[in-house]
Amino acid sequence: MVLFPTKTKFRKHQRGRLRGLAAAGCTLNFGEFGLQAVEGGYLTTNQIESARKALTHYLKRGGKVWVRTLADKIKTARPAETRMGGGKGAPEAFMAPVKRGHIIFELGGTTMEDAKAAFRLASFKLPLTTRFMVKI
Amino acid sequence: MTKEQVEIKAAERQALGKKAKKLKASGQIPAVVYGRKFPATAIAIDLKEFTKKVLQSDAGHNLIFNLNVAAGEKSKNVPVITQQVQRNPLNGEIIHLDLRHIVMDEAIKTSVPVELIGTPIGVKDSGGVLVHGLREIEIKCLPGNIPDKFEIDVAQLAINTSLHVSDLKAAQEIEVLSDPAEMIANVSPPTKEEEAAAQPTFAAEGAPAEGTAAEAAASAAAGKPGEKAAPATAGKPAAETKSAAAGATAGKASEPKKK
Repeated sequence: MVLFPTKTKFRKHQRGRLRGLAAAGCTLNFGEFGLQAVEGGYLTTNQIESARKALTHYLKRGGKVWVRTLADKIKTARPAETRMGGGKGAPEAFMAPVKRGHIIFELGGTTMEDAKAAFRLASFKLPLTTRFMVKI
Repeated sequence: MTKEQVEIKAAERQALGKKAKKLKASGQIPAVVYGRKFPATAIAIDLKEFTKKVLQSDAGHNLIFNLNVAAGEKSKNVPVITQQVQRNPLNGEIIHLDLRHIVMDEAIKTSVPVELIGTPIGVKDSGGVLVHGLREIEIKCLPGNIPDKFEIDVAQLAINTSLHVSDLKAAQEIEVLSDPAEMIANVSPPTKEEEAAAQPTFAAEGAPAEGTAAEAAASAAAGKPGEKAAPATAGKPAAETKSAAAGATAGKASEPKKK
């Protein structure tokens, strides 16, 4: 379910900076409720998938979930107990850069109480501080 | 069209650019009013008054109201409509307003919210989820003819059926500008819990399966868990191949190097 690129132009990416507010992806476009990042950071495919599962598991048969992040950046890591040097580490996972204000998930077709409870569980799976938001 | 005559007081402001942020302390927000027959003027508006009288009205941002702009000792009344509301994405606070001067006999473009009425059959009987697609429809008409909202009855929608802009019955004097093929409402099957989803797999030396993560995932699923994916170096430039080999060496040397 979680999306990631099937082919990449380069094997390793530079990390870049995550300063400032998100310019795009900060308004609710699909559902009535959303989970918004209050701080910047990176989300790996595992974290996104884990949070998405928590949402759908809680909602059972109701509601519809939209994932608004795409993990398209390669995370590299050095093997354990190795010394520095020898070049950049090996690719380990795909991750999504998330800026402050970016909406990670959207939810529709459910009540506000259910949405709040589902997003609360999903937020435990994410490494960022998030907030619940409702369409104005 | 709303019949209420709302009047809001505003004052021309000298604090431009970043200095405009200081207005917030006095409960005001920076705004600009402009139009084809009105020069762009920077103003300051009381936030509470604007929110209560305009945004919380039935017509919402489509309310036409009189703006009383005070410039020194003079003041003038201008009929305006809210063109844009800028909000802070983190807390939803209004940070700036664009107000547009209108001429009542000139057609304007604006967007009108859509309200869905009723519970679809697909939701009641089949447990589907009502998905609200387009929430605002762009129209062109005279300022006096702008409707507060479009009410659309969705009670007859079954599962996997949709309502589009083309199904909308707007009054004759209103020209609908949104794409007729755009979806307004749809009843879709509920989200199901899925089985283990594909995870990105990287080749042994660390390349994202040298091109296709999906292929590597497929080979892993074929029952070769212990087998390391061979680095697919064919057709790669020499420099790339060299770096892949270096990566393989780095990956293998898990014990500390001897000096």
